[in-house]
Amino acid sequence: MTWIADWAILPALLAGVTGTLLVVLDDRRAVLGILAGQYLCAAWLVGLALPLSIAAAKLVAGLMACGALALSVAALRWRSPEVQAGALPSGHAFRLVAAGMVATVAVGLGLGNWMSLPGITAPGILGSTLLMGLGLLQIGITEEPLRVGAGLLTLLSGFEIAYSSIEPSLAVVALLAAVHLGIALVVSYLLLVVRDERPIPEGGG
Amino acid sequence: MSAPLVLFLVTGIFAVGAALLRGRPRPSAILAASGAAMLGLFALTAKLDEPFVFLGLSLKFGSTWSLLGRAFTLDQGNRAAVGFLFLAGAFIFAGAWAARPERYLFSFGILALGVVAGSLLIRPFLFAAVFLELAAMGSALILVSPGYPARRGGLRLLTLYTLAMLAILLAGWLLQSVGVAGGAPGESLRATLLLALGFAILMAVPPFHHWLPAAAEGAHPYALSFVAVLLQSAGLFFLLRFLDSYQWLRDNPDLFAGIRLAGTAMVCFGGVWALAQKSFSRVVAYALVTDFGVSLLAVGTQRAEGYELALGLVGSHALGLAVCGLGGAMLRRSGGKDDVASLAGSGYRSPLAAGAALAGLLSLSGFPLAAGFPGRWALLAILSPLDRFAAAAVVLSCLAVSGAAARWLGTFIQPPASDEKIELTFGEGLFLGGGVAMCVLFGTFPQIFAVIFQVTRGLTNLVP
Repeated sequence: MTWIADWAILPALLAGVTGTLLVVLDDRRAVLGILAGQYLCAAWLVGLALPLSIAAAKLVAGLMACGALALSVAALRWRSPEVQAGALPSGHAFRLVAAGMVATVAVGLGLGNWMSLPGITAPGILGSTLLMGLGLLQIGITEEPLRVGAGLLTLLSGFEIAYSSIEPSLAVVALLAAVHLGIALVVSYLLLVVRDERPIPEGGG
Repeated sequence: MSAPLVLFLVTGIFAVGAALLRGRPRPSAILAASGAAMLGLFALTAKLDEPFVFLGLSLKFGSTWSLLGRAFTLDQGNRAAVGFLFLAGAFIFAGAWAARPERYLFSFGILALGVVAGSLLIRPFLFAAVFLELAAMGSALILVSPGYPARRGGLRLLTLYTLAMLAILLAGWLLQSVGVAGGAPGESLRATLLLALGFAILMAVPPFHHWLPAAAEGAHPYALSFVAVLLQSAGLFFLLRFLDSYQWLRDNPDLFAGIRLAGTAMVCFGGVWALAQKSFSRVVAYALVTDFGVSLLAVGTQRAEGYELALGLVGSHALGLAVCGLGGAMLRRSGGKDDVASLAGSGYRSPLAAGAALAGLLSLSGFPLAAGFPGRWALLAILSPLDRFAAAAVVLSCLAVSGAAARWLGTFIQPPASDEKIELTFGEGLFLGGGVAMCVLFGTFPQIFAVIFQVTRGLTNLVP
């Protein structure tokens, strides 16, 4: 199916948009919906290197991870945690600017094969770099479990796009799918273990 | 049936059993400890690839189990390490019921042991990084519980191990596919840096140690002991297997100088910060950083004795940490806190628990006659001709952590704010007393640790 390769730039750019939105938004419904969309983009980009059936399996694993997180957040009635002002800025504007800067650097890097990976396509490297950069930013600026979880899953998705071009074995696909599900389950548990959360200081250690 | 499959299946069965018994700590601990001991003995003694008769049945355990194109292999190279891992887990589970940990320690704990065993069995061994990530997930579930709901330590652990996994997988690809042995210097440097990042996280080299103090503060002390022993042993085995597998790494003196530098930084940093802490659990966390640093320094000697010593130190580390965790958990029973004000006078309220907490801490510090001392002494003998600065740092860190222990001794013998005693059952007292005695026994007769050197049997390039 050549259209997958022809239109591959679309999921690469959308991956950047979803990564940015995950950094900026607080609404938990929106975060989970965007994460599911991001898995679709990641599966498309993985499909450039692996058979479509395997890319679809990755998508299913990702959607299952989103489902597990959604169940926990639904048990908390979808309410977002109360955010307390910390030592570092963490408002929407700050996050948007930070995400914009990271995305700019990622696009700059991702226009070339900066990781020197054989067999990876240009949209693949762009999408991978955007997701890894924005995922790292996300886990660096928050300690709220759902957002950290979304950041880790974003980072992993970006890594998998690149890694699938160099290590296409089924065992690795299965192991990394297990990691996605595992992270989602652990984050779900961490969300539920403290139901009456104290405000989380943003940006503070 | 293959031996690795038996290991995984039986691990799963015991984990389910422990989960079903989660409301009853003693049966749960007995099940988990006996299960882990059985698995350890199976790994050490099972006849592989040879038929044998058991209860009239003819059986044969294959050494390899294949799954999705990858092999899990139990052989002479790794069976000692797998056995040690399960037996160390059994030792910690056995004492756990006295510490009254959260109820999922046993089920998640035995699962985590199985996953770390998987990291030792998988071929190619580079994919062990994924298993260590899965073990970190299990550890996060052990650290955070309804009774100890501070999530920061667990989240940081998960985040750091994810980063380590990615770095090691990429480095592994560079090593295997590009072939850095004879390849470009740029590729070698890239692989080395990625490996350094991955192992710095696995070995809790500052600044990647920051999950430890957060977890120490918020988790049950005994749960932290289990997680620290499990993850540190797994990280160290993995590091040694890397060094054993790649000659260009083994022959790189700059790499070993870097390992010694990281180890020196850890013992200095941990020692100073242990002195400055105002909560007992955080002192233990920084004492652990120094202990991990000492293990790294042993690896950094680039000698067979050093590698053996690093593994021997895991044994003393497990013992000291378990005893310290047991004592610390009992001291926290009265108020739940472990700062200076809460623990003042603990020596009167429960001399045995306070004694165990201090004996464990002194063992971690390497104080003379405690379990951690012989390993440090032997390390100094091989390290001082090689790197006097690192050797001096080991001595200073020992003094610093021992100084911190002395400070807490002062706190424990302050007049107590109330006459309320911490009640211990006979069995709990027995475990605490036994733990203190073992710390002294292992410090006085260090030959017992020599058994652990068997773990290096599979590392034929490092320890010929």
